[in-house]
Amino acid sequence: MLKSANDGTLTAQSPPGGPLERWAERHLRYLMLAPTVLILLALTIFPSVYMFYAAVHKISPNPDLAWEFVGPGNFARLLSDAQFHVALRNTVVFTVVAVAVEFLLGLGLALLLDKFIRRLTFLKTVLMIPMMLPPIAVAITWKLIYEPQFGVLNEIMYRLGLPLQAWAGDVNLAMFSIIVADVWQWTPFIFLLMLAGLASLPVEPYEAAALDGASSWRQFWDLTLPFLKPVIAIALLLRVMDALRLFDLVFILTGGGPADRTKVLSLYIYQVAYRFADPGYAAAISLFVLFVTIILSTWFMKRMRLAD
Amino acid sequence: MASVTFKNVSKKFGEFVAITDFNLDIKDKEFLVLLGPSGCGKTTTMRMVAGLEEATSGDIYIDADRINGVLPKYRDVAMVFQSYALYPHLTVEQNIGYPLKIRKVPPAESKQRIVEVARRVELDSLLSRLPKELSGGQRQRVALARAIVRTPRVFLMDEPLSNLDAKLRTQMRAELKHLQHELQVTTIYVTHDQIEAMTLADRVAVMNKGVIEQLGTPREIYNDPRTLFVAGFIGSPSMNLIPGEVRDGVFASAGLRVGGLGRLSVSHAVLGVRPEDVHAARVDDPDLNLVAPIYSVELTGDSTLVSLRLAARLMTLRADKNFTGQIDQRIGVKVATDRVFLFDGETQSRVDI
Amino acid sequence: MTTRTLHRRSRTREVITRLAAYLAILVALILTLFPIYWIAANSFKFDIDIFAVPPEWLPRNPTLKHYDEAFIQRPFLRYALNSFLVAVGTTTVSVVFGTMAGYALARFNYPWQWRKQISFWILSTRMMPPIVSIIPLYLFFNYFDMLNTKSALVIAYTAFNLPFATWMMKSYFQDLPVELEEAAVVDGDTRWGAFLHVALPLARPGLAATAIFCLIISWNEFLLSLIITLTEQSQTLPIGIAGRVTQYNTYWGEISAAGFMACVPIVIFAFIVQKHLVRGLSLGAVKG
Repeated sequence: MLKSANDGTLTAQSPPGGPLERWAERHLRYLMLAPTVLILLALTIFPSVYMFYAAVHKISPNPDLAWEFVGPGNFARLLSDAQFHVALRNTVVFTVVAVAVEFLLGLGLALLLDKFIRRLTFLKTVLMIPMMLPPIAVAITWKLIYEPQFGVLNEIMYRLGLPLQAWAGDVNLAMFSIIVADVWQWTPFIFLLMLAGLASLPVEPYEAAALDGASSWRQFWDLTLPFLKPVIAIALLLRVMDALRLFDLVFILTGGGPADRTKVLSLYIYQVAYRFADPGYAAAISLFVLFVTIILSTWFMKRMRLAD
Repeated sequence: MASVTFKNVSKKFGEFVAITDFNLDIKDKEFLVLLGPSGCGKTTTMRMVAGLEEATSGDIYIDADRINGVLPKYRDVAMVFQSYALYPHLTVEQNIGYPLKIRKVPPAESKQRIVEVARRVELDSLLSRLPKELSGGQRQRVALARAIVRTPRVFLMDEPLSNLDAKLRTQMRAELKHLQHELQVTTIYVTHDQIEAMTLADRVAVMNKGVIEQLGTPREIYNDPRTLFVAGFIGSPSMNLIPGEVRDGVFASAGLRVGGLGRLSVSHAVLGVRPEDVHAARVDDPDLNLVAPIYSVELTGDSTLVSLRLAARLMTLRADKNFTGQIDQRIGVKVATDRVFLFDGETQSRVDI
Repeated sequence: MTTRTLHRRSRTREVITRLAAYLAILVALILTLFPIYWIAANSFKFDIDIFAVPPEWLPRNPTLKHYDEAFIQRPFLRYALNSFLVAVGTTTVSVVFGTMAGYALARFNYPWQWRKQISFWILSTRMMPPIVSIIPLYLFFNYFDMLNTKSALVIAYTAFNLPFATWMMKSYFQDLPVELEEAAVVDGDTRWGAFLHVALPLARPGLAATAIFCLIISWNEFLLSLIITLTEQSQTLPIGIAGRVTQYNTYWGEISAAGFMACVPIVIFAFIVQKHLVRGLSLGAVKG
């Protein structure tokens, strides 16, 4: 019986804890958070401040030369730099079109396949593969497909009796080609998130709506979309942020050409910093991009109350 | 083994005041129940003993040791959680043995204790199972076993029976009572279920809005409620509480008249009378307190609950199981005048008759 | 309309939806898998067959020539090893610190709403496009003579993997009932012990998923590596591949072989973490 265990109290002799232990327990919340906060402060705040410092200087590629203070000169250049305006426009076009297509395709597919694919985890995972792949591998794959002479796409055009194209090398089709590759890689992302959203929908409101005689179209607008709104918002936020940083595809497929038609901001910053050896001005453009993304993501996250 | 003392304890969560100036002396080996509706501060009070919350002000003692700011591991208390909080990745044996492992009890002794305790709560055949392979009742026993395996100074139990079905709850209640009697460990037990409180407690502290409304034995709480809140909270079905006016020892309210209240006069009075102290009578009985139509009749088995329409409210009486009245039928009512309570509607406290 | 026609109409509609769905799945599968198949197929062809018009849909003379070129004659094995080492380093740092921070943000309260503010700030660092940090990082690594080192890559990658790991682990810890850790504390453990002995073992699947995601993200990264690395001593696989796409010539066979090999571990990982994909890709915001 347990009474026999009653004789030896186990912890009556326990010490009340040393000062170090008490201090550690009291401050555990700070101790556990501190490394991450310090690392991220060092890796984000420091570069931002340093970048601002760089942006007000003319930095020579020769490391022996001192930085020349130019004040807001680099920022003023943003206003008159035609190439910057092209890059900005290309980035916006790419982001809007690519994300819109991915969203419509992904949502449509999710709505169509929801019932059929819910249990087919294997199939779902296969469809998810593109977005996990290294962007560089995706880029060379599409480069191979777009290849004007021996590419698969022109073979299909030929079979269909359509005119052959230069695709990524064509002034009018270059951006289209980039967008197609991006859509191939990222539609699964929207599809997957929408499937997850649909799977978490409650059943009762639909039964009630069906009893009330609502058509499936009405049910979609009145029930499905409002329920999916948080997931849609997250999906769009992440996709937009990703699209704004587009680099790898362009770097491999077009190098920004032809005729600057696919020159996006990331690529332009890279070129200014390294090919034109003007880190000061590149820093100014970077600050602009940083500013825009902070505004955009903060607005989005606050609206969605993502931080909780 | 241990007494627990609260001295002027207050607890705030930001602006919200959970416990106000709380004073309580829990005696050694006592089974004390903190009873109250959800949000009354009973769980917070218990968690302050465990060290899961720190008091904002005031002192808490176990025996003579002030435990404010002492890490939970040095308080030597054991707790049974409402959700049982069994470690899902550990077997029953490892769950029960966890407190011993933390305290570096030698494996041989630990094993012996675990087996002993497991036998005590009839788990000895399930030691190698994982919590998810157990029934609700068995999980509850594991939680208990984990608490008693190290004979702590104080047991804390936070609504331990509320996740069980009704039948099992009654059975476990009896086992708990027996166990506590056998172990002789000071126990603080939190519940919102007055039956649990009545059946288990040596003393009950009825809590409301962060203060103790009344502290006493279950009998005192039931027979001698000191406040309107306690009167309304204890008893099932609950006490009839009827507002009205007392003039010269006679209570009057919409058709109900109850005399024999000394020579009192209270303008905002509330009359309290338990359903079992209200008796049905023939309408032509000469000394009726009330004649009212029947609103509903519910047979509970050993008796019949009859609700009467009394102006805008209902009055319940417990009648014989053979009661035959029909809805809307008018019946006479006699109130056991020596069993009524009178409360001051303004101060919410009892007015002694 | 009689109930019978109504019934029949909905039956027909159901059949049509079903057919459309199967067709959509088929098309989606073909579109998804063909490019991957194509790069794999070309990696096994002789150069002359890669350039064939019309394309050779199935490699007629399969060869491992390009694998030999890439991984034996050229330093792609070295690139892959660099990628692997950098990914492991980044993942270790991110998961260790991210787990602690994620736990703290899931469990503890801080004065002045810090919990919310810090979570929010950590998430925004993840949103920052890497291009905006390349200039200070370049100058920084240049100053400390760390350009072209793997440690520099680990540091740079940690900047976006650490916030990711923190948010993922925060979301996994939030799924665990807090009572378990409270029970551990009352049972005699310290708060840290409750984290180590109770919360951490229970979050193990999440921990594994987070680590694999970190590995994938690092393995795939291109831009930062392009700026920081200069020679094969530290260049990663994506850089190696991009290096064989030159102005004058694209070494199709070689990059197909290397590109396909870069994809293989990712596909394996994708299947390992399939249950966690949704959460991982939404930074823990959507629980799949």
